[in-house]
Amino acid sequence: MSQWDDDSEVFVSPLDTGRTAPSVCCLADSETAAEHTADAIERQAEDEFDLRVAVDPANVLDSLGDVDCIVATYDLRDRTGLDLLAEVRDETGDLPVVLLVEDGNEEIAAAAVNAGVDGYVRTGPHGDPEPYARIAERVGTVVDQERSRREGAEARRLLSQLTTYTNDALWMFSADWSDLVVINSAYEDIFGDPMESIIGNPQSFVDAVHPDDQQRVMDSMQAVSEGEPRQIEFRVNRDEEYHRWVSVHAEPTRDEDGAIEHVVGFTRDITRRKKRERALEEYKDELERSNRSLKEFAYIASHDLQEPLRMVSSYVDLLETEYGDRLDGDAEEYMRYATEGAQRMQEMINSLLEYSRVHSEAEEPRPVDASSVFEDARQNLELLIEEYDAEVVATDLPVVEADRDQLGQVFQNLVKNAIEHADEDAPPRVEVSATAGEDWHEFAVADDGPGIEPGQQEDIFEIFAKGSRRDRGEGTGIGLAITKRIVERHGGDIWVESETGEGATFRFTLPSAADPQERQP
Amino acid sequence: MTPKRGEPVEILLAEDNPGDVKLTEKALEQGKIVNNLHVAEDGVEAMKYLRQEGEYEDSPRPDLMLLDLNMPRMDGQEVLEEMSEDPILRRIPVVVLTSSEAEEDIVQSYELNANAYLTKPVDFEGFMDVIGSVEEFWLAVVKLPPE
Repeated sequence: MSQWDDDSEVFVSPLDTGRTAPSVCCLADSETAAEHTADAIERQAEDEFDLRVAVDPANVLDSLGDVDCIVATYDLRDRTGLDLLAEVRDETGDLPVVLLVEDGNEEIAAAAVNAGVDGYVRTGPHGDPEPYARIAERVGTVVDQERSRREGAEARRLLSQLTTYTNDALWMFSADWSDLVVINSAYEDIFGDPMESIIGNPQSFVDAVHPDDQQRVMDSMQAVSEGEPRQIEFRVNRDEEYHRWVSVHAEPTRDEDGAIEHVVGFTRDITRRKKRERALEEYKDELERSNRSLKEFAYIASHDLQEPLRMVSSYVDLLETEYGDRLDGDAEEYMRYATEGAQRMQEMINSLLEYSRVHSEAEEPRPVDASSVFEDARQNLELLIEEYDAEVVATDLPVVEADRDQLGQVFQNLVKNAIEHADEDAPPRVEVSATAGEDWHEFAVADDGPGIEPGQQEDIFEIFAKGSRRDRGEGTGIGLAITKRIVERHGGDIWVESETGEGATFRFTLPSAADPQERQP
Repeated sequence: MTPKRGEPVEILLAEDNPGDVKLTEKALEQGKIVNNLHVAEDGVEAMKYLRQEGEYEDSPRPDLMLLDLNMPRMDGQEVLEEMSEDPILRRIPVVVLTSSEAEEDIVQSYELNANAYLTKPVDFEGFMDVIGSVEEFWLAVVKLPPE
C-alpha cells in the first residue's frame, strides 16, 4: 500500500505490518542441503533476508507464524514438497511457498503450480543458470506480494473503521444513482432509514427527504450525474418529522476517458448549525421589531406630547389676552414662566422628533465632498457667526461616504456648539480640519473656548445633557446627542479632547468614499 | 351650496379636544367671517352630522369643514375616505387641522382630497393666524365658480 498515492489523493500512514527483513525458512532433507540453499540465497539476494534452516517439516509447520516465506526442496525427510505445500495451505492459507524442483521433473513442477505454489525454481545442470538468484528474486517477490496483500487488508480495515466512526454519511453511487457502491452506517442515524433499505433500493434515501425538498434534491442528483458538483441543504428523517437538516456535498468521479464513473460525497448533519442560524435570525427580527417600535415610540411620544402642551400655552396666552388688564405684576410674571416653560418643552419635543428622525428619515450614504458640505453649514450659521463675531475656518476636507444632509447637521451642530460655548471676552475661533486615512477619515472641530472638564466629556453626548460650560445659547442640549447618533449611524466614532481652559476639540470618524471619483458636491 | 355674501357661513368642526373647540370658537369670534360653528366630537358624530342623521336631521349642510386628524372611534382620515366616496359630501371643502407635522399625514391628507392642511400652533396668537388662513381659504373658495 503506497503511503501517498497522487491519483487517489488518499493518505494512509505507513502500516505497522513488520517491515523488518523477511524471515525465510529454508527446508531440505539434510542440514547441508538446507544450508546450501540459505547460503546461495544470501549470496545472490539483493534484499536482506533473515534466513533460517530446517530439516524437520513438522517443526516448520508448528511455527508457521514466525516466517514470511518457506523455500523447500521437493525431497524432504518424511514427505514431499508438495505434501508440505498442501499442509501449509491448510494451516495458513496464504504463506508464500517456493519449491525447488530438480531440472527435468516437469510433472512435479506442473503439480506444484496446480497446488498453488507461489514460485518454483528449477535446479540442476539444465535448470535456471543461476538458480539461487532466481530463488532470492522469487522469495523477494512473493514476500512483497504477501505483505502488500496484508497491508491492503489492513488499510481496508482502517478505512472501514474510519467510515464507521465518522458522523457523516459517506457514499458512492453509480453515475446514474441506480447502484450503491459504498455507504457507511452513519446513514441509518441521519436518514432514519435502515441500511438494508438503501442497500436493497439505492434511491430509498430520497423517500427519507422532506417532501418539500425532494424535487430540489432530485434536481441536484441529476446535475451531479451530468458532471456538476453540488452542495445542497435539506431536511430529512421522517421518523423525526424532518427536523434534521443535512448538508450534502456531491461530486462526479471520472474514469480515464473522462466519462462519469461514480457520484461520491458525504451527508453531514447540520441540525445544530441550522438551529443556531434560526435563533440568530429570530434574534435579528426581534431586534428590528424592537428598533422599529422604539422609533415609533419616539415619534408618537413627541407627537402626542404636543397636544397637551398646546393647551397649556394657548390658554395662558388667552388668559393674558382676555384678563391681562385685571392681573397684577406677579401674575404676569407667573404667566411668563408658564409660557417660557411651554416654549422650552416645545423645543425639546421638536429635538426629540429630530433625534428619532436620524434613523427614520436617513438617506443611503454616498460619496460627498465634505468641503462643500461644510461651506453650506457655515452659510446656515451666518447670523450666529456675525452675532458672536466668530472666525470659522476649515482646511481642505476629504470626500466621505455619508448622508449629505446629516453630515451638514454634524458640522452645523459642532460649530454652533463651539460658538455658543466660547469665552465671553474674546471673539471665538473655530477650526475644522481632517486627517485622511485609508478606510476612515478623522475630522476635528477645534475651538479656543473654556474647554470641558474631563468628568463631563462623556455626558455631553447624552440627550438633554447640561454641559458644564457656561451656556449662552438657547439650545435644548440635544445637538451633540443628534451628532453622535448621526456619526454612529455611519459606523464612525465621536469623542472630545479637552482640558479646562485650553479649548475643546471634537473628533469624529467617517468612512472614506469607496470611489472618490464620484464626487458629489 | 355656496352661501350668499353676508349670510353666516356654516362651519362643521370635528374635534375631540374641548380645549381646541374653545380656541377655535374664540378665534372665529374675533375673525372677519360671520359664521355658525357646529361641533362633532369624533368622526362618527361628524359623519352623522354630514348625513343629517338622527338629531342632526334639521342641521344645515356645512359650507366648510374643519377636521382634526386624531379622533377616537373614527379618525380624520377615515372621515375623509367616507366623504370622498359620497358624491355630495366630497364637494364640501375640508381644512385638516392637526398637531402633527409629519409628512406622511400631509401626503395622506392630500391623497384623500383634503383642500388644505394646517398645523395647530402652540400659542393662541398662532392659532389666530391659522384661523386667519382658514378664512382666506374660505374667501378663495367663495370666489371660485360653482361646479
